[in-house]
Amino acid sequence: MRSRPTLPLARSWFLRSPEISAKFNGVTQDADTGATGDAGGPSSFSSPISHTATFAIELRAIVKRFPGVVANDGVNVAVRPGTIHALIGENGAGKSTVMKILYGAQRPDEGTIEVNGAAQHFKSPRDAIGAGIGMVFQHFMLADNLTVLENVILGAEPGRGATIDFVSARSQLVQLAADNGLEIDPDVFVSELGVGERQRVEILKVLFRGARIIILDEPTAVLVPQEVDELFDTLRELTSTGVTIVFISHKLDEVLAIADDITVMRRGKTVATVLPTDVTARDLAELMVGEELPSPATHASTVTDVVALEVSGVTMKAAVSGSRPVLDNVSFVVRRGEIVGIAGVEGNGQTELLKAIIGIDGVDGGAISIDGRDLNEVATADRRSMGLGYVPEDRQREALLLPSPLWENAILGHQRSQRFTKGPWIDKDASRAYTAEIVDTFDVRTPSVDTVALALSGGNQQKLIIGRELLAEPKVLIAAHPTRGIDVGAQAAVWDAIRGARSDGLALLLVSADLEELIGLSDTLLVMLRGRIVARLDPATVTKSELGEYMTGAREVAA
Amino acid sequence: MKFDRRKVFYALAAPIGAFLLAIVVAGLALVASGKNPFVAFKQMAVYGATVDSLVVSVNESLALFVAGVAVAIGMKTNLFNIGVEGQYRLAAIIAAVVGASVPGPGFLRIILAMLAAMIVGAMYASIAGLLKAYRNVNEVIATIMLNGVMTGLVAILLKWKVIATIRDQQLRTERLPKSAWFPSLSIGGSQLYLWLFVAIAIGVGYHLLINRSRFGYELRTSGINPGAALAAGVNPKRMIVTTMALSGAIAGLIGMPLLLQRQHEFTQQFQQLLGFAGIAVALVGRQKAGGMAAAALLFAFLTRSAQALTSPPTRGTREIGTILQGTMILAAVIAYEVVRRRAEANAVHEAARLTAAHHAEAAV
Repeated sequence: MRSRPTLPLARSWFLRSPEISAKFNGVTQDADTGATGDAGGPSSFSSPISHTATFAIELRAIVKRFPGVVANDGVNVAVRPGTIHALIGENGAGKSTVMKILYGAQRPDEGTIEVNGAAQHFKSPRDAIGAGIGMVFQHFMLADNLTVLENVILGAEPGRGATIDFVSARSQLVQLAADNGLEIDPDVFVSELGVGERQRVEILKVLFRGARIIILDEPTAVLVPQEVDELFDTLRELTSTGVTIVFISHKLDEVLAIADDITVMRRGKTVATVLPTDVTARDLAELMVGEELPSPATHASTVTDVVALEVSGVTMKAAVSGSRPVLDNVSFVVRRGEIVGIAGVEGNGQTELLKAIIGIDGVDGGAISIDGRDLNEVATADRRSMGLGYVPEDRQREALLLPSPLWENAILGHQRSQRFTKGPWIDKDASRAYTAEIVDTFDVRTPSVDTVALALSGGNQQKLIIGRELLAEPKVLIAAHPTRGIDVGAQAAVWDAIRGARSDGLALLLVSADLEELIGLSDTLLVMLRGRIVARLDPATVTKSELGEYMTGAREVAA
Repeated sequence: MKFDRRKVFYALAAPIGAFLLAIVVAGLALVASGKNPFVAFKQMAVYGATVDSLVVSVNESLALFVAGVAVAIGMKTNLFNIGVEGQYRLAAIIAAVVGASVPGPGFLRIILAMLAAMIVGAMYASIAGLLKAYRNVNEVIATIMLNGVMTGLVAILLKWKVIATIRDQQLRTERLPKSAWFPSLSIGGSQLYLWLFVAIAIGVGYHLLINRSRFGYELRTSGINPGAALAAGVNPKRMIVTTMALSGAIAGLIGMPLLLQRQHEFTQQFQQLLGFAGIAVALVGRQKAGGMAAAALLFAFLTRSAQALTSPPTRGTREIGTILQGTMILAAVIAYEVVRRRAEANAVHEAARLTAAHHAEAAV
């Protein structure tokens, strides 16, 4: 294999669409030729990066088919040792399949994997770890009731027989942490750690197992901006000691800030490898999407002075007595035609606030009203019929009937509306017609309205959920992460629909982790921290990093 | 229409496969006991195909079917009502007393007896429903316990002179007057229970309620995804209590074809275990009205035709009927799961292929 010419890192190789590739000066090449690599093409590339060493990871012409779909179709990634290599792409572009192949969780149908110049055929993650590849998942896999040390050695305990050599384990861990600039107290319980620190434990875990190549799957998704900066410091420290990082993300600003090389994926293919200095975030986004980008920004204000939703002094006690309240004296109003955005690190009461408004959870104090009517004694079903719509955070658990056809999912929450009933009966024709309308408007990709919901991808499920709430013309909509996990085209459709509904007088309470979406859509921005509204900001003037400071409590104002 | 044909295939593959497997297992059992399975099956088929056997099979299937419906209502919302057994027996004794003691014309007695049976069944099942909704007591445990309580209750009621007296060396409730016997139709000398039409009405009503009504939609929603049901405005506690009561009300009717068409009185010998048979019917019939009707008929037919095995040359292998039924239940449940997964995977691929096609179009 080594006799083959090494793939140089061209600024953009095998770009597919000429209109995009024209923006870059790099050489373009047909994807298929690049994929086979034998046609003699690659070596003729002019490369901005001169290098002679072997790659830490080299994926060539990877193809992975699942029945009915091709998840990866010509993936070429070459990662230089000791660098941070970002792999970016939209949801469904095939990033996670690449990641699974690299980590040994799945085997490619075609193509080769080389690690430090040696061909590898991973049969399981164990093989990948053996080759020095470690994986840090987006969702941490730590035991809360164990200490940092215990978590790090779990499954790789040093010692003989049934005994664990804690002394050597501790010294190893302390050494490892010091060498890599990962400050952590080995004896503190993981339950006491913040998100950023937990991530550090995860990284230590893979280092402890001897990994010199670390794959990070969307590592910043769970972090606030300040923690992101810390993570980036850590990553730079790691690369300076020779560790190679593969950084999977779809947050372009971060990728541009941290990566040494960026490989862009689109529809299962790697479409370009670029240097961060050569491109803007917009260029990257267009490479990812292959088309012009929508923007979340709303236009003229449509805010009226009619209060639609009023939350005053709402308090919810914690399930465990003695802990701080989940919601602590939360007050705000949402007027007709207004979008109120709630920013906050996940787990600071946003979920509970929405559940209190829809009536799933009871409150311990305060009042919630719609159009001046107190909701205290009003059941969820009646809140729904008053024109309250709800897009829950956890769509699998709260928004979908997976084994049921789409049309039954489309009327969920509206099953008592006269629109979908005839007396005591469900009006199937009306329901199916409504579903077809949602499918059309929001580009839900489905064979038919009778397809079961579980057959759809997460993004398409999300589009259906958003669609059913927006097209039902609610007076007040409370929505968590309305565009999470959906593609750019559909995101634009959702934003358009939200803007349209807003100018028709919709009052929207928007919880989102996408700060750009929050700032772009909201008329008013609130920040939630530890169950309280800690800041009220003007989205026209606030920056993302300011917002981040309020979200972590680094900055405070009298709200 | 290709898609529809596939659907039909999926619907039929599992039960037919289960039936064939059951035949094979029962055949092996026959071989093991030194009998010729082909002779035995032929004997069963010949006996089962007589007019009398067919009529008896239909008659016997009525209670099985209603029991299946009662269990299925619970299953649709993820409640496992094991207590159908207790509910129908308690309902039957009260209905027997009501039917025999209220004054009035026969049809009124019939209606009142059935009404009483439904009320008693509903009330008894509601105990488990209320415990589940408001005290978080597992309904399986509660209904099993209540079955035990029922045995004692029925025994006590039978000892009560107002309710039962000893005739022919047995405790019996007062016999229903002839006017309160449900009519039957004579077919070749065999009496077909016309309660069949009540059973059909129950089946149709069940289908409409579960699959067409808003209440049924909410009931199914609670079963499929309680969290989503809650967010959609379904009150889960009320749904549990209502469903258990409804399941119990239908359970109350299980004993009616026996009471109104055959025994006309309640005795200690009143047929038992129909509630548990209902679980099998609901499972094999996949909680679908038509499926459960087919399952009930098949079970009744197998029981009946297995009686042929009491005569030579295969005397003494009557349990083959039980083996057939047991194997079928197991095989059907497994086969349904296999088929369900295949169908699910197919749906996913179908949708994925379509999405991929979209992508291809967009790329062109």
